[in-house]
Amino acid sequence: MKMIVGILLALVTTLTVYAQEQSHTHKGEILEHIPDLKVEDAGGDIIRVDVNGLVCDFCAQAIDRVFRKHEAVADIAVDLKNKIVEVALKENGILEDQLLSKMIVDSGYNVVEINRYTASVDTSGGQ
Amino acid sequence: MRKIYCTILGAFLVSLMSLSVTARPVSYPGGWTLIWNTTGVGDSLLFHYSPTAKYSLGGLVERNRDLNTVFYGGQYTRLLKRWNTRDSQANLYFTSGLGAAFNSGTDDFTPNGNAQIAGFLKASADWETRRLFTSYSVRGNFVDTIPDRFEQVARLGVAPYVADYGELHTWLMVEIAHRPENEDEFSVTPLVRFFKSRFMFEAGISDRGEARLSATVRF
Repeated sequence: MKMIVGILLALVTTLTVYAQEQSHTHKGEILEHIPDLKVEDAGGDIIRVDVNGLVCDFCAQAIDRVFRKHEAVADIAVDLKNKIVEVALKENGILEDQLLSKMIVDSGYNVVEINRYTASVDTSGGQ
Repeated sequence: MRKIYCTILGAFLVSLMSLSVTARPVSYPGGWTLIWNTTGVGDSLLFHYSPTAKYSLGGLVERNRDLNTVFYGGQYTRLLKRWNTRDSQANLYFTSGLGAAFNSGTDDFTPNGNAQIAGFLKASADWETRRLFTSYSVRGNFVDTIPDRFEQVARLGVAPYVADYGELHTWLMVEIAHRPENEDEFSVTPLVRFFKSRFMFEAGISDRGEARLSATVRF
């Protein structure tokens, strides 16, 4: 009986570790396909926002300030050349598109498109 | 003691005011901005707070060297309209100020004499890309016992290189000011602007040989 329990425990542990490795590998594969990733992956979603009006570094500091105040945000980067704001969420961090758009508008800019790369599934359908 | 206190307070306020002249007059929600400015015409210090990205409220100290007056007051700025496109941004602002003006010494901010009600109205617009910048502002100043004064200022700037986010940005600019009531009605000031992160600094010399300096910090 002890042997059976031991085998079952070992099996569960092995499967758990395997599943975690698979999940990590999948996220890593997704991130590899995001060109020029500028933010530090923190285990949560990676969000890329195309933004209009992003021409001034001094003014774009507003976006950095506004997003870093949100508890779900682990890192943020602004790409003036490609007019992109990149946001890395903390593991299990949630930042809905509606609030994200409001934060961009509150910073003084307009949202063109939001692409989201989740920890397990790429829901953007591209990139 | 009172004179020293007033001078320090005045210098601080003037520093704040200069920021508003040279940088965006409205910041992000919850953002504080400090602007200091000194030119041949006067000095200013502005400290403002933006509850939203649409307006800001601030305290302003401004000294006019021609009139030997110093203004202490509040300032309200409203972003009337912003145009964001893929490669440019344009803004239209309305600013008003109300406070008290005093006669002052020629080299300090010490109030001298009775306070006079004073204020100003200002409209300003700017347009910029990562390479080009242009702006225009028109302002009317009102002091109780002094004839109203008017000024308009235009700027044109070009970035000699296009820097990425977080790097040192450099702009070469020319400012043309028109002040009909002044002895020298027009002045032209070539200047250089630097900014990095939350800090902006400008330096220039006018065609009359007067230095222009300004600094802006956002919190």
